[in-house]
Amino acid sequence: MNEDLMDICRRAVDIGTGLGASEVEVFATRQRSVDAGFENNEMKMAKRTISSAAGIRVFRNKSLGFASVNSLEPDKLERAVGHAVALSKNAPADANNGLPDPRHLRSLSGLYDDDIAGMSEEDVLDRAKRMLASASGVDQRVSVDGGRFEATVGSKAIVNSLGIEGSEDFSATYYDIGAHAVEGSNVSSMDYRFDGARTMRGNDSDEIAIELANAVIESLSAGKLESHMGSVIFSPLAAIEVLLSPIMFSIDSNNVQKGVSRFRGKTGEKVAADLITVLDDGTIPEGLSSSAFDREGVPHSPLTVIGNGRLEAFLYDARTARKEGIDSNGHAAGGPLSVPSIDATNVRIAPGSAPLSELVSSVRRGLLVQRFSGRVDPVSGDFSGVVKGSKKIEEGVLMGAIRETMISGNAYDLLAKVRGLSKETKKIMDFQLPYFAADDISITGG
Amino acid sequence: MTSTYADARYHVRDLISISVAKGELEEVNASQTAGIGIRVLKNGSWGFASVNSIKKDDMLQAAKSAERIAELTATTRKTKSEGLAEAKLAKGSFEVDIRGRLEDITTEEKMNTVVKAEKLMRSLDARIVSARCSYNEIIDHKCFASTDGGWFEMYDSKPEFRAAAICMSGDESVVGLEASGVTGGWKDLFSKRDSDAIAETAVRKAVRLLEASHMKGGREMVILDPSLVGLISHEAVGHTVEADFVKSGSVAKQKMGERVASELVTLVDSGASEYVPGAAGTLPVDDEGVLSRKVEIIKRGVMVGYLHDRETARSFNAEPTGNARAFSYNDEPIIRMRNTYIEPGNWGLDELIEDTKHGYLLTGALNGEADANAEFMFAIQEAREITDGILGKRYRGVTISGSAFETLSTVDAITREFQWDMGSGYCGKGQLAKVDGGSGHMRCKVLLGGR
Repeated sequence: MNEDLMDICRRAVDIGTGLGASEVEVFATRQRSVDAGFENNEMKMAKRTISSAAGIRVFRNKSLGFASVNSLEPDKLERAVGHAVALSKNAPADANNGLPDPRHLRSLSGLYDDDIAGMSEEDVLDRAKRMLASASGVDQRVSVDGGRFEATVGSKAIVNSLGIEGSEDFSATYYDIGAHAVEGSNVSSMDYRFDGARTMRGNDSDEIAIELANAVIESLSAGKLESHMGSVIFSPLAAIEVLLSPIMFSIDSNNVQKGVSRFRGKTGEKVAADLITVLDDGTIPEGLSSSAFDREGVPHSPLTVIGNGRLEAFLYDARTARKEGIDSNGHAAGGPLSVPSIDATNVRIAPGSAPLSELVSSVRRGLLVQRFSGRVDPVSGDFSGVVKGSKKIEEGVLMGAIRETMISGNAYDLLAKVRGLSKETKKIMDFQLPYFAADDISITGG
Repeated sequence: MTSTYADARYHVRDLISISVAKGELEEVNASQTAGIGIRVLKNGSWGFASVNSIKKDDMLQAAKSAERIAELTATTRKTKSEGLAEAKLAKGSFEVDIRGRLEDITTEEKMNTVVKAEKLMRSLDARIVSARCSYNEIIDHKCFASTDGGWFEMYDSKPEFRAAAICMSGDESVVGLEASGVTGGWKDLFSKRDSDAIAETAVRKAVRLLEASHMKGGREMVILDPSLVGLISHEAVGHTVEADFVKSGSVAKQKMGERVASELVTLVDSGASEYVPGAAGTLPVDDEGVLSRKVEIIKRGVMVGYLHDRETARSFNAEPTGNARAFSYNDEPIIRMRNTYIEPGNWGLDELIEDTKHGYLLTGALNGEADANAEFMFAIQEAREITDGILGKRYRGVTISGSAFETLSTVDAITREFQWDMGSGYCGKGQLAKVDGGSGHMRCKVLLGGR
């Protein structure tokens, strides 16, 4: 337990109550991180950050006030509490405002790794250097634009005036890399990869650097494509953007209650093809979004959001749950510097049974889309944008890279007509999902 | 310490965020962050450390960390930094022009403004199923000093107001967006339109878009509005001429002195708010203490300049341009744009539409992305078909893409009314930055994507 951090929170809660707030919540963090960056095929700069912050949320006669400060010093914290209470005096009242009641919190394993906590500045620099060398080592035509490796370790604590008390230590690494390939006057599209891990065991920074280098080499000499309606296989990265982001928007209970979710009123109904099952689980060991409790101190637990294409649940925080007369399912999210919002934790899409090669061979004419750069409107589901690092498929055979090609359609329609998922899955940050295959997508060539 | 160079930047930031959606106050947040960032150049390499305290011991420890990191990084570098270019360093205090200091407006008034505008939106049309209005302000106070004699204190404020109306009919739904963001105060933010007018515009857009069709894609003649010209200037050209990207091999590396655009195109990045006051990227001095100056990137179609910090200026044998910016105290300065635009032309907009046999008038930039090779993709709120000089059918869900330099080479007309229209957004490059972009309306050819 982080008793000193908890004590700081408790003291601030008492100050808020003393100033007349009906309910007070204090969320505090303390963190240190080292971040080493590279740029232009060369190590660039490292930086060390020591930080702390507290977010104070109060309700006074059902009116909200929130203030935050990046310091845990008593005078600054006291001033921030005063500010939150003052803001609540002018805010409109809302019957659904209020903090959640306490529930039993069990501690989770795999959130803190001694190996990350013990990383020196030299170790972090070495990891960044290895990423750069891994990408550059694939082929001399690879030019690394930039990237970074970061190791973070910290503690967080939450205390509210209704009796919630929780604290946790955590660690994580985050890394990304961007590169393009150059062969004479032929310059490929820039591409990038990113990921993170709770432990050094789960660290795949070298692997993503190699994967990226291979991808940019393959995208050299990309050709143009004729416009047509065709099949598209979305990589896990592209599927997060095109398919998963609208799902995430529409399962947010706040969007449902505001009337802007396509899934409103559809609990128990089909919203996707039978083969799609979406799970949210903030308790997965070593999951990047795993934690014993959410941003309001409510325990996380596994949740099936879509089961075999049928909508089973929305994500709630205390406020949206109270509106429907139910309990929060632990999806309040965010850091100490902002009012809690709603978000998913670790999201898994269950894999299919066919290998990716089988999905490719089932395509008569279409694309394997590695990355999507465009707009996805989460309300309507309309998407349109350019595909990056992508390849043509003809008569079931993966052909050369293509450029200046756009795809467009509607994500919600597409969800219903996904006809295949690969058995291979990929973890990207807190997502894990397979390749998706769908037909009849508008493909516009340059 | 025996470093070649060091600087320290103390930065206090006060933020207020207010957000109301469908009659509910979702956020009212007063936040303060403060701390010091210390940067050290030693043995040809950089180290940076930050701490959220200005106690002497904490600052000394941060300085020692920065120095140690520089020493460590130096052992990993194949080539060393050549050092910093000489520059016109700031020595004094700076305050941007402000009409209606944000501190003089109570949070209650700001909250009431947002609540009222959001309520108005829902009352204007029965098809509006949800509306959201938000107000954000950033008030920065910085103090900077460097070992080579630069120092400054700066006060700056940047408010933003946004309105989003969501309209539905059957299974069809659209979002109408409108926003304003400036460098300045409360009066500057609402100098062109008040909050209710911004909210009404968002509703009118949403209602129009609901009745708009989806178009088929293809290469077409288009007239881009100032927000889109700003976005291409910033995203597709501006990033390629940031000297750190140039060193990394961006497409601009091979193009200095070459014709890259039509003769009508003069593309500029400036720390001042040229033509119209209040541009959101306005910056009198950068975070290396270099006085801001106007940089011509493309002059009458020929590439003539890159954007520099002091380090790249030294290695390119150029003059620093005042483009080194850090978003927060715990960010190191990197090369960023400020207000990026294309010089206006001589056409009137009506005249330009009348002159277009077939094409599309594109208005309202949404999101976008561009590569180091200047390929871009931007989403557009609304497209209006032009046939024989007359505006006709509306389309939504439209994107444009292409190579920026190929696109700029097809420019055959720019209008004379200049407008900044990117001030409510942020640029991301590992860290955020407030920027702006604009121009007149510009006619060119692009690849349109529809559905």
